[in-house]
Amino acid sequence: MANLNIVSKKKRTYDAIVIGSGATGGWAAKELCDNGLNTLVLERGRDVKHIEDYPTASKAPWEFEFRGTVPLDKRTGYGSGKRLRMETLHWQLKDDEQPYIAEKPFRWFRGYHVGGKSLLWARQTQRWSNFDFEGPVRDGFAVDWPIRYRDIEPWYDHVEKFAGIAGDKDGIPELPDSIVQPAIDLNVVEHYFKEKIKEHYGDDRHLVAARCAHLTDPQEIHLQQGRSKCLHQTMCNRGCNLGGYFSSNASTIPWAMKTGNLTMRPDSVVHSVIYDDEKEKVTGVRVIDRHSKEMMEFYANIVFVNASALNSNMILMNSRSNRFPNGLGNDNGLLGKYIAWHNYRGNASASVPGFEDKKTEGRRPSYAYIPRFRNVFEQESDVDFRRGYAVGVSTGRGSNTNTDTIGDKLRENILNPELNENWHIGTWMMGETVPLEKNHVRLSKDKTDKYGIPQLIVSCEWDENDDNMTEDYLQEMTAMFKRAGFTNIDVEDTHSPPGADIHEMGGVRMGHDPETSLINKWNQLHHAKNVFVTDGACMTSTGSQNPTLTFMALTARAANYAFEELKKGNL
Amino acid sequence: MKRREALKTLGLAAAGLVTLPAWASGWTARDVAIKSSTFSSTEQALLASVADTIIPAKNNVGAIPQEVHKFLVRLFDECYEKEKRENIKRQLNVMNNLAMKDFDSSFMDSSQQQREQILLSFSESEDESEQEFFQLVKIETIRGFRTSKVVMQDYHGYRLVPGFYNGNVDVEA
Ligand SMILES: Cc1cc2nc3c(=O)[nH]c(=O)nc-3n(C[C@H](O)[C@H](O)[C@H](O)COP(=O)(O)OP(=O)(O)OC[C@H]3O[C@@H](n4cnc5c(N)ncnc54)[C@H](O)[C@@H]3O)c2cc1C
Repeated sequence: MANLNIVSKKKRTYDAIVIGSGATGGWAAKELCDNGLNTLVLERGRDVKHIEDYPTASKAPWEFEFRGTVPLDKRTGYGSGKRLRMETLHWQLKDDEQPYIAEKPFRWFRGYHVGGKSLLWARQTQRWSNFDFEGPVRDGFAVDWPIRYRDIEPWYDHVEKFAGIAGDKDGIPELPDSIVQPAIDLNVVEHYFKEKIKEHYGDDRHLVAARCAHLTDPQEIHLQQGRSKCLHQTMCNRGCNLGGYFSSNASTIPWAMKTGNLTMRPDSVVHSVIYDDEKEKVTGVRVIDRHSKEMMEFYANIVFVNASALNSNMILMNSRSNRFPNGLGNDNGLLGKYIAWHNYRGNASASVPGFEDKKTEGRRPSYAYIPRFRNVFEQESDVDFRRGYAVGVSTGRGSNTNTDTIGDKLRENILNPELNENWHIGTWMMGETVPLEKNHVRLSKDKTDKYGIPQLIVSCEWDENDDNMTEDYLQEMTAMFKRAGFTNIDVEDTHSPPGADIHEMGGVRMGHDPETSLINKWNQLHHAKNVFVTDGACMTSTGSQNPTLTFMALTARAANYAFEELKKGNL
Repeated sequence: MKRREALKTLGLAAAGLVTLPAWASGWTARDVAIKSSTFSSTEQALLASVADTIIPAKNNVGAIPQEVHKFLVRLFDECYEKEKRENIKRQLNVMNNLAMKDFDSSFMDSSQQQREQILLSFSESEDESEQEFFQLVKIETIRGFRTSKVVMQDYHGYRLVPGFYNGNVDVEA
């Protein structure tokens, strides 16, 4: 019997375990496998194979029987509030999979399948600069980041070369240049707006083509991944048969698989991380098989926690031992605290006079971007909030059809839509939020999910800084629109709840001091050095940039460090 | 298509509808009615006639050639709650009776102008369920037509794989 146990334990032992196969888990797996480590990826959702498991990827609108509407019998289990579509129904999460408790309004967007939200994201990838890393220490909030731009710069390069980023070399200090392929260009109205902004604000404000993870000029490394050029289908969130944009499924996971070092185990809900009180280190991970509901253990020398920010918090909080009764590595009681996100409350739109003789053709998978311009170089004295916001910009010239009538006239109207008189511009704010201790997640003491895992309680709310920043965005956007001569200006604070941005971060923050942070500058838990937390949970502050590029660069950096440390026998 | 056969399949004779409208002359028996539907063949024929009235065909482009009537039946069967569906059926009957009363012929046998007149009276009706019927069928007919292959590709320039974006195209005068 004892012998059998040893054999079975050996079979479930790896060099490294990665929890989660999304944007960051995929990177951890790739780097660890490239370094020759025998790596197990535990993913709670079902398997999704690139191309094979994108059932709607090449379907035209008329090929959907109900043109995208979801029939009633397929709607059960998803709750009533969700806007379901046949194009993407295969990614939707059923309500009973993981109920959670939003103590205050919060929207938690999840993608539970191999690839995670890397199949659903909008693929915008802007680098951080030192103005972001130095934010907390300059403005006196959170704790100092133990790293600076120079620490992460080579890893941005590393990730960008492999993922493939489209963009320009803009030479803007607050938005460092990426390693780029040709940008998906601005249109004629955006070029005009860019000039107008330059005219009025000089070097203080910029409008650029947003950098995005699309292949516009695939290099050898991308062809090796089996990916090809983006063909502007703009159906990215169904999964892309071309691999035209970066996802774990198209890129990191098949790459890791090819090394022969990867074992992918879908349908494995990680319950907790195992801490061995005697060995004084983590020895593995407890998993509940989604089908059999059986609890199993897997073992490894190092564990990467990449289950997405709030889930990574959850797993650590649920990892209790004699040494860590309050959750793994949580001696200071800060685990789950200082949750922050991005403020997407502000919207603004307007009409663009002129350009009646211009229109667009084809489709575009990306946008224009205005990097943060508030409080960049210093806290401005006339600004009543800390930090600032970036702006997403989208413009176009739509068409319209008069459908007031019926009969022959209606048919002709539909067949011959008229170009709108004016171009339209829409913008949205992406504001940094300041992490506060009271914004937190914790585990419910009495409610569990169907796997017996305690439910997550989310307790996050807006604060005055966010209100003031939103107000400023509405004013500044109005001013920029007016200066460009735009009309019919409409601005709105949507009061969308926290989490609607889908950029939730923090709870396992990085810092120098174990008294005030959970992980060190290499993403290692201060008190359990063979555990690395490298998804959004690790973020000490949020910046205003779309965060995933930074998560991925931190992950690649930590994975290579982990390998070196293992080699040296330090873990 | 043998008109007599079609009539039989549709059960139109029984419903007092003696002739098939002109657009139905190309139908095959299989085409005429979706068998597994909760809509009777008469109701299906009436619904088709409504779609044909909202977007009549010209040069083989319209609700019927683009098979919007089939889309509607399946859509209302599978994607709409029972109450909405029952209201549609009820109003189809009301509509047909109105045609009998005002024009002394079935809805389908009435002229395009007469059918439009009846439908528009629904759009202006004070009865909410009549209005709802009209709006719903109209919106879905437009949607079904607009998302058909012919309209999207041949008229709206839709390409599944455009391969490019050009943000500075001259509008032809
Ligand atoms: C519509 C949309 C648009 C977005 N646009 C952008 C954008 O333009 N730019 C940007 O930077 N970011 C964007 N994001 C956010 C981006 O998708 C996430 O930041 C990114 O995917 C996070 O990576 P991750 O690895 O932390 O989490 P995920 O990609 O979510 O992966 C986490 C994985 O862990 C698995 N998992 C969770 N819990 C467990 C468990 N207990 N056991 C085992 N496995 C588990 C999940 O099933 C999932 O597969 C967008 C997101 C969405 C949904």
